[in-house]
Amino acid sequence: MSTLNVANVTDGTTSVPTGYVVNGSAKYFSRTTGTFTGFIGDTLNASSLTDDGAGVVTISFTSNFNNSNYCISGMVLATSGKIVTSPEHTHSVGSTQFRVHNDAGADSDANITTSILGDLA
Amino acid sequence: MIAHLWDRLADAKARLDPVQSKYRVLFENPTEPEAPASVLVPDPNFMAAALAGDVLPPIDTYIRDQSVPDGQPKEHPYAEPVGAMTEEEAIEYLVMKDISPSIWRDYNGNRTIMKIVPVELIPSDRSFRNAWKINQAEQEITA
Repeated sequence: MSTLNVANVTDGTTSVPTGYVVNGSAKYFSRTTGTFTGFIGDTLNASSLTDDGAGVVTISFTSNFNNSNYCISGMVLATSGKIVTSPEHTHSVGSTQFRVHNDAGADSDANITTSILGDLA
Repeated sequence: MIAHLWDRLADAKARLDPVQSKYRVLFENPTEPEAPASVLVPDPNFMAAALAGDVLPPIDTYIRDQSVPDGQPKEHPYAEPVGAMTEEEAIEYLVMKDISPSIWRDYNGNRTIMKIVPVELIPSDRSFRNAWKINQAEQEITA
């Protein structure tokens, strides 16, 4: 494995420190099945998912974050009526929980895609 | 110099085919007796890295890092990677990494609160998902 060791990246006109590129990329992403039986397709930096019940899944990371103040985004793959949330008290450097709610507010199974930006340990 | 775990994972992902495990880990949290049983599913890229070797750090580095406060330097990213594991060893590694020690190490009760089972034993009918418990007599779970 070779390493490109540069301080800045430029297109010839604009230059940015390499840290902006490295730190600005997603450090985790995945897409789960609707019943949390596994991952669909590609994943990044996940070690496992844990199906904790209807509409509740915990994702664990292989390379942990430096702190639990990372930035999470997520989407429910449904045409309407559901949202995905992530309770703040479940955030840790090694895992986080996602919950899918239906339009009545109850936990409900659904395919979700999630990603996280943040600094790794 | 040892490359950061993140770099080793990126390299492994580029050269290894994902591996779907034939195992799942069922567990219950003894501090939440009303909660349903949980089902841990390994990530295919993680399994590929574990089976290939020279990617993942020793499991004890993850365990020691659990007591390191947020923002402080962690041991596991730059620890010397371990060699290739069997699938069974990889599942045990994952249990120790992703499940609380209060379940796999510290629990002293009589109830079976964790089982490693073939994926076929996980029910596909989720009608009563929030009532799943580990069957104490059989190698399966019941609703």
